[in-house]
Amino acid sequence: MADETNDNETEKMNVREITLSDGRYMVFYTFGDEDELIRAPTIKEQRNDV
Amino acid sequence: MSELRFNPLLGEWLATATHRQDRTFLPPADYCPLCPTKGGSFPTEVPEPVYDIVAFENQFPSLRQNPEFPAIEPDGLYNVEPAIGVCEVVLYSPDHQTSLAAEPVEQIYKLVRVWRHRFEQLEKHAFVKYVFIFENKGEAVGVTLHHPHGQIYAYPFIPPVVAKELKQTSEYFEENGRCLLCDILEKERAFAKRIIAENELFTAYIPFFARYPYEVHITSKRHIQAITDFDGDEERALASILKQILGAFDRRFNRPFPYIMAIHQRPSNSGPYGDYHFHIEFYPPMRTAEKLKYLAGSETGAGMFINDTLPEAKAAELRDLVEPVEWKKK
Repeated sequence: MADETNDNETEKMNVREITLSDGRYMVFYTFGDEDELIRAPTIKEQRNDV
Repeated sequence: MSELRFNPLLGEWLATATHRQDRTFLPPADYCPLCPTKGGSFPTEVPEPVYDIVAFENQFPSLRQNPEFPAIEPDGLYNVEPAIGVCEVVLYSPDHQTSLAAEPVEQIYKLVRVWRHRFEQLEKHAFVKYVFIFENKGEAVGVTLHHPHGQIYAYPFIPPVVAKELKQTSEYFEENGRCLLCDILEKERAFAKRIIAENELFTAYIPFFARYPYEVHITSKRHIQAITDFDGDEERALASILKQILGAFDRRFNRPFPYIMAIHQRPSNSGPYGDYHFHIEFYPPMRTAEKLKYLAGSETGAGMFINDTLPEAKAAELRDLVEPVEWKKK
């Protein structure tokens, strides 16, 4: 997993890359202050909760 | 199994991709593979629910980074190559029911920034010669999944349509010392009747030579070659004019308007292509509310398009439907 944050004069673009079970990459883009984002649990986290 | 085969008659590469016959085809909304996976529901392709935009490698790609070797050997007449490249899907929103036209301009602005980032990332691969950002919208153009999304193909060669544009712009520059797209833009702005919308940095118009009734082009006023040349104002201005054009499209027949959107930029890892010029082309298949423009004998067999309409008339229809764009105040 790679984390990257690009500053912009208006909103930060947060880039987070994961690798799927079949090896493909998936890149999630969120904008704004990551601390303010309400991040839902991932499926893996949900399964661990059970 | 994918491979690239060369057409010696046309001088063009094509891809065979037999596995794509098995891809998901128009699933019900409850079983959309591009919706975020929800707890207790079936696993989709997207394992996390919170994002603004997601980009990922296509599960059924025609090009891949580590392709199989072709099953046949090239023989000089029939050339074949591994189908190397990247095929990405870009989800515009977690919301299945929305569309780019329905999204607020702020979301389109985010997409423009994601396009730029994907372009920068993909052209880092030395094998990539062209990054093509596009969207197929609507079943009329062959969409198989309705979740709002676009695609990006990173080709190992410059695709034929862009190669032809590069040749034309290069020859025009050699003959006239000017950019062909800059001159087209100047002529369209002077004539004005084919202009649909405009802001300080982009102009949207149906060109004099349009092949489709609603073939809108959006061209940057600044002579730039790619989205990586944009400054922050251009990112916002492109989002604004896209919002206006997509809204006018949907208002034209009071329903979602199908189209192919093609972003034409300079090639990657070659060049410099200083005489090329960034622009977006839309190819909507509708010619009336109920009739489609089919690519039939002349268009497909001979390559000569027959446009049943005049761009001046169609531009006026869309221009009347353009609404102002309002950005939320921060």
